[in-house]
Amino acid sequence: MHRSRTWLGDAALALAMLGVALLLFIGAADLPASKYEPMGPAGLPIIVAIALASLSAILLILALVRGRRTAPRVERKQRGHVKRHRMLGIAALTVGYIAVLDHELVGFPVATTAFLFGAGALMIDLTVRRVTVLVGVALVVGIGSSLILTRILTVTLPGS
Amino acid sequence: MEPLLTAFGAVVEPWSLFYIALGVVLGVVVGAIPGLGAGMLIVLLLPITFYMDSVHALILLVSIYVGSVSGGLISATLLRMPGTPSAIMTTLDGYPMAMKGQAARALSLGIVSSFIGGLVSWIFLAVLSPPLASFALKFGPYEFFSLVVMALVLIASVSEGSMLKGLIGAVFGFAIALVGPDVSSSVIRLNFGFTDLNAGFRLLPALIGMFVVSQLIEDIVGNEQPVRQARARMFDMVLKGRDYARHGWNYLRSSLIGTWIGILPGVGSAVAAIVSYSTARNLSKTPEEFGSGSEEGIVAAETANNASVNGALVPLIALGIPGSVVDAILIGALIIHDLQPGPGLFTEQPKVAYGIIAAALIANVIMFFVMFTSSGLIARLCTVPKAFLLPSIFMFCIIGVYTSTNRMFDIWLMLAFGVIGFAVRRAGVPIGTFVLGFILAPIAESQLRNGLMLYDQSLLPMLTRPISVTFLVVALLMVCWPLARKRVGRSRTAR
Repeated sequence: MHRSRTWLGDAALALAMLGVALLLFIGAADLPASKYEPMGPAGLPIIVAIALASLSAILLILALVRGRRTAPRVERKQRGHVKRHRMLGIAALTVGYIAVLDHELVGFPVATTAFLFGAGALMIDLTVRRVTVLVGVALVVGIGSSLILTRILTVTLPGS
Repeated sequence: MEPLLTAFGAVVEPWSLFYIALGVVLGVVVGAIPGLGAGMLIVLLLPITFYMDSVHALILLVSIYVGSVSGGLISATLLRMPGTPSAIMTTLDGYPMAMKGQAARALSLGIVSSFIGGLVSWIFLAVLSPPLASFALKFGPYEFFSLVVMALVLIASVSEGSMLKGLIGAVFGFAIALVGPDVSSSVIRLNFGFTDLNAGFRLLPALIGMFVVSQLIEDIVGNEQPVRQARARMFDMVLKGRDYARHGWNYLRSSLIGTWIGILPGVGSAVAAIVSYSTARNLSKTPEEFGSGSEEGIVAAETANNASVNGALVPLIALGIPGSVVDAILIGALIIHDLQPGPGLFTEQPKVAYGIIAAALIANVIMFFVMFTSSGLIARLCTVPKAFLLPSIFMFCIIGVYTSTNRMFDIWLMLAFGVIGFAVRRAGVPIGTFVLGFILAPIAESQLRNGLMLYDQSLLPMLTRPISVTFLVVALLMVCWPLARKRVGRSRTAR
């Protein structure tokens, strides 16, 4: 039996939201009642948790009912213009960039220039011309913006 | 009238004009580039506006909004890619006209339509906002709470995807906004021991993450097909007067549709364009031309989407309720500048309220000239490779968040919200409902709790006070209407 991939996505969304509702319930349970007004700090979290759980339960039921019906397999979408391994590379590069700034391993201009070049390189097929342009853009945007922000606007940047 | 004239006097001074012009140009450029948008740019510029005077900040941001809705016309017509959702309907007829060698004509009609739509709706903005704000001063807490509920249900019902997912998005936004200090007692709630969350999820990292970073991820993984770009020369864009005049009724009808849809809380310019386009097609003598290069289609869509911008400003300024998702972000801007959104804005900060109204008109005029002179050039910007653009935008996201909070934790949060936002979009939940829920949650909670204290713990006044019950009935109708329509459709099919 073929199943639509949509029902899986809906079920996953519903379960995730049920998890959020559960967190709200757990968090609200620890909150004190208010002496001065009827609702207190726990009131709206509980209301929101009930609403979210109810809506998610409806979505989950609808998804499971849809999933039980026979449906034509959904054709895989054409690939986006960035292949999967490159997307993972961009994700790793992004996390690494923020981590480098967080731990102040190198300054903002250097980290940013490297990130701009690396992310850009992962998004396109490289030729000599494109690499040259990419290096130029990375330097101008990375170092240029850093200079403008720190020297002229006197803004504090991460990593400094 | 006098405060408005005073505001015009303030807005035509050099710095204000500079900010309006800058906002319009940035808005047109960003609106023209698919994948970006007014919301993104406004959120990115919010930290920079910290250093600006409040009036200048708001008129800059409103001008971006005006420019961006018009900018979507350029890429819709020349590249078959709507720069903004509001330009989707324009794509259907603008690009086919461009492929027939009439790109300049299509752009010209669209620009004039945008201008007229903006002018007509501005009259409603100037005339309706002050009395509506005065009327809203009579609202009690339950009226505001019901209005928020209605706004959330409205946007959930008109957003793409199912209403159920729209409501889930809104409630999820509510849930995220609850983290942090309680509005009344300041008890820290839902931080689960993370002291970095004692202040809650701050507005900017959440907004930038959900709105901007998630869109960047979508742009990276998205599917783009190469399209043939049409070209338009400025000199070819000036048409004869009768070419514009024969669409007179369409301009007026579409302006009114756009204005009133814009006024509805939570609805936006995309819906205005769709409704206006459909109406024009139903009333047209040549409906078969729609979708293959109909001038009426372009006029209807572009007039309505621009009219909805000023229409959406009416509930924003008068009630503090956003007329669209971008308006929700503008509420964030008001809050960041220590301005209380709501009917009190006219009495407590008339310079800001009337300044926004005056700037909206001037921005519309500047938009007209910018679009006429620069459409071809701006279209070339749409072809800047994403490899150069997207990482740079992410860099500005980091700068924006860090300058506002000075915490690396918030940058990690921004990234997390970006991933969550991307997952939520892919699951079919409209991001706009989340943003509205997140922004409106504090208002809803404080009004509900004030109401309970005022009416001795009773919720009954919410159902007996006429304005409050009207809002709730509209919300209920919006929820029940699709279900009823489906049921009627099924019983007709069964027969």
